[in-house]
Amino acid sequence: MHWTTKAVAILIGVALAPLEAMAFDLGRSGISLNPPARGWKVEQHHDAAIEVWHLRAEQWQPPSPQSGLIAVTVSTLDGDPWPDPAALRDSAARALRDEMLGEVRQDTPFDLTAGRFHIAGEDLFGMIGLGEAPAMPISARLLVIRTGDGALLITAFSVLPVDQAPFAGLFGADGILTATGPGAEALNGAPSGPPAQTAAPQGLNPVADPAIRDLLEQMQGGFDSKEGE
Amino acid sequence: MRYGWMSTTLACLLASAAWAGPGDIQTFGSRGLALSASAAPQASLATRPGVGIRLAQVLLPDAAPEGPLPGEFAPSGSPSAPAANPSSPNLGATRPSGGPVLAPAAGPEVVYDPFSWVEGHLLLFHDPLKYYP
Repeated sequence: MHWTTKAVAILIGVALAPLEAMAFDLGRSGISLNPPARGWKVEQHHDAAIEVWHLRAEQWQPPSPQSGLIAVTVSTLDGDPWPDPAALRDSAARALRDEMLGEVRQDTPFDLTAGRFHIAGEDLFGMIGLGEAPAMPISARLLVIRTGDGALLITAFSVLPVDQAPFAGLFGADGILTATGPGAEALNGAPSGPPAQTAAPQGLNPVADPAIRDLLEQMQGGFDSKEGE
Repeated sequence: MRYGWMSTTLACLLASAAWAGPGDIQTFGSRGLALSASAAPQASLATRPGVGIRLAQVLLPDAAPEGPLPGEFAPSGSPSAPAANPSSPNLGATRPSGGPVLAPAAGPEVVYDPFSWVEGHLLLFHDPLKYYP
């Protein structure tokens, strides 16, 4: 190959590299961030020791992703100083209600413990102003997820109304966030509505929990492989 | 042999640098807390590093007539009392009458909200309008 051809190929590769989808783990939380390849601006900030990932759709009307999401922000709170995610959720929800949203007409807190994830969330539906444009309806979801290694404080805003699964694109294999490990299905498999609706009843047989069953099978598999050596 | 002499010299230098004499260091710590000897005009601060530990001592002169004994509650206005802090009314308040030496100071109850930072953090980093084009 001629050197000019190689140079052009390298330049094209460098230019297209940022467009490739990238995914990375948020510490050891068991949750990975998958910024969309196109149509979103991704920024990383630091608030003291808190690492913040802010993703914002470049276009709000119409929203670039079909999910209706326009902004997702994740704050990673390392360590484990957050024994009660509900208290942190309540404080954050108060700030959302009082400072960011207007005319909040629906406010639904929910709690869920699934596998290693302790989740306290809240869905709010109200109005938000777009610069000088008139206010428009907005759906907001707040999640505080305690993972045992710390906590994640997540906010997501969607232009879709409550009856159109406004947060379907937030978690999942193809979502902006993907949970892995025991309890992941509670996050990835909650396409609409508060995840509390999928909460397992208290006192459930642990072996009946698919996540725990998988974990037990993995542990048993490890013993089996050792025995075979 | 040469290296042994050099290491001995280096150890002496490190030791002399490690012990900061009285008054050499005015603040101590880098984790949001500071220890200062400035509250007492005649006191000084000395630090000594250890294995995983930094030790700080506030050295009070032997003849300090108006200063309280170590551990004694410092009356407001005395040289050893910290300045009154409006945001933390328990610090620098007057000594409660009739109470034990180290009793909490009288005054309004201080209620600390462990999540008071959340509102500012959300407004600064989670507001979608802040980054709206």
